[in-house]
Amino acid sequence: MTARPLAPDPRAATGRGENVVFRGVTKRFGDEVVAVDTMSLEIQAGEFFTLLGPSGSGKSTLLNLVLGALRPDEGEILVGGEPITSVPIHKRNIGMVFQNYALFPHMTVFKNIAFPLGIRRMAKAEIKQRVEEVLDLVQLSGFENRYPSQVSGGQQQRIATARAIAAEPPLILMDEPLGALDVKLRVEMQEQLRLLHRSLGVTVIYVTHDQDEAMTLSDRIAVMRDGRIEQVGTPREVYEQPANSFVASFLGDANLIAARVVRQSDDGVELATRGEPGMVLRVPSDAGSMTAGLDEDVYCMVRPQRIDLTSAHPAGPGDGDGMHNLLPATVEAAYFSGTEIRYLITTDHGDSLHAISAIEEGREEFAAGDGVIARWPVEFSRLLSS
Amino acid sequence: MAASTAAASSTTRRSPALRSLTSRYAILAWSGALWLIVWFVVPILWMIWDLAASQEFQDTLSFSGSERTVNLRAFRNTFETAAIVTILCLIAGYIVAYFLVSVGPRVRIILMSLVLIPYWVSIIIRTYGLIVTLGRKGFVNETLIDAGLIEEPLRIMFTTNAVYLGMVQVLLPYVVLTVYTSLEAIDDNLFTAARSLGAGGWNVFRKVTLPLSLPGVYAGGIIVFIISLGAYVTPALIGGPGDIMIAQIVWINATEFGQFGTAIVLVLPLIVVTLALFVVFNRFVGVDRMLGTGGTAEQR
Repeated sequence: MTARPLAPDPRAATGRGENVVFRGVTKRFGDEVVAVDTMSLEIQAGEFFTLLGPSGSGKSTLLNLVLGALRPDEGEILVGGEPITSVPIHKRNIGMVFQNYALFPHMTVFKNIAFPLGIRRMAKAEIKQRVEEVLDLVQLSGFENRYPSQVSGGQQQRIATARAIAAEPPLILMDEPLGALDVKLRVEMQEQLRLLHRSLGVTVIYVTHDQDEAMTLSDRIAVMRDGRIEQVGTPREVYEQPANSFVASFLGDANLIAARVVRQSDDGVELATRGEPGMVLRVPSDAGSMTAGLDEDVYCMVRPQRIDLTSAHPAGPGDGDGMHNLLPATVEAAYFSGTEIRYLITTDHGDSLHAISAIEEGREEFAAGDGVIARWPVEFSRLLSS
Repeated sequence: MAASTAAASSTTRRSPALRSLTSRYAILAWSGALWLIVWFVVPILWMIWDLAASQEFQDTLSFSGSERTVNLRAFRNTFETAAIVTILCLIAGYIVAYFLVSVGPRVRIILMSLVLIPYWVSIIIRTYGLIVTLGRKGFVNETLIDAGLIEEPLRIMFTTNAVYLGMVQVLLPYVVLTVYTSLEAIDDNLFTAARSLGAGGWNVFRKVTLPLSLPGVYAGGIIVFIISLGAYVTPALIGGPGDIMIAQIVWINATEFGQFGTAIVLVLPLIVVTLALFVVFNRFVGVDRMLGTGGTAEQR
């Protein structure tokens, strides 16, 4: 499967997508489970928007509410400004790609893709032309007469996508569409989806629990937990400026160091780590969505890639240049992974941290038992509520 | 699991059919087959061999016997009844099965019991039940007369329609169960997918539900048709004088006239048709589907 550039869809006009607005949407299952909790959100027209969260966070429920397979208990969903919660599912014109693809097993690839067109009573010749177009778009020309069971998983995925876009819906929903594929194929398909989205110009709401996938694909991400949105932002924003410890640890590795606010100034916030000896950490004043009061318990968050390890030096910890945070620590384990070394270290005050350092000429490497100083620029520290 | 894989790989060059006949689990199938061969195939072949020279065998075979017209009429009646009963069972059974998969689990258990419990009751008892319900002084007629809707009791029992009704009542569970299994095996996402692609209720049924449940329809249809061909009790108990089925003629010939030669000749067409139906069915659907694996023709 060689990736050639996608032929632009001749009918695709940019800005064909429609915006989606959630107004206080709530969905309960039974008396106790609140799958989606008074959700308000606006998804821009033409945006590739991802709902990211662990299983049970309500992301699939939210998708099914837009699709119409479920009805909200409260609130309203608007697509292109029109309320849709009372519109039956078959009149919504929303494309859906299911996790298991849901291809019709008794129909050929052609008939699967022609299904929405036949329902719309399109002329035979037009249907044939449109099916050829979308098959070309997903690079499966020539597969018309196969049955879904006769093609590979990756091809089934693309057929499902072709079927969802065939009737040119302004909004396409995708529920973990790459979840069943192996890693290598998944990365390839991510690229294809991104290009497809760009050439169609439609709005895509994408559900996944895979943070890498979310960051690669999305214009914006909503991180969900327990039926609520924890944070909405571009992949960069949610990764670099996580709103809380949940978002920080869900998107990539995060070191969370428990600490207490000891001083606040215009330059930043000073924290003291818990445990003995208490070490001073500095966090820039704008580096947190929260305003911490004095003596409050918080987390100092730093990504493992930002931590640099150096040999312990006799001058003692804590006398940094004011631009770096320093913590004396001991290496517990070092894992070699080809391009980098991942260290597990324990600070003298008792926190376990991860540090990742690229393998480079002249960079010091450590083994288990070595005493080190974990060092990172203050600007990469984030203040998170505990 | 490992054992079957090993058995399969050691016989990869043989055809699947041959492989399934020689695998180590085939002994289970063979033991059942042996039972049928000893107690069914051999006696029939032996009877044909033994009676082939007899006068009545020759007469019946060449249609020159005195009961020629009666026999022909019984054959036509048998196939006609079987066909009508099959169609009625398919329509009614499909509706029941469709309803069963669409209700919640609790209601489903209750309804399923209502389908299954009569299925376990003797056919004779059920047929007499019909007489009690539908006879001249039966529950239905009494109620209708009391309600003033009719003045004279309706003649329902001992007519051709009574035979249809009785046989459908007896055979319905076969269709309900096979169709239910087929419907139940369809991935719910397919319905959601079809609806999201613009299909309303009727189109979802016509283009997705019905085609994917056809294996169950075929299976149920063939089972009902085959059993109907051999129907004996119901037509005898509640049919009219014209509703003589071939099984009754076979019975009379064998037990009352002692004409086993005639009986065996009359049985042969039924056996041939039954076997032919099985072959055709296996060709297009697969007998394994008949046993409730259900599902969809092209799925994985």
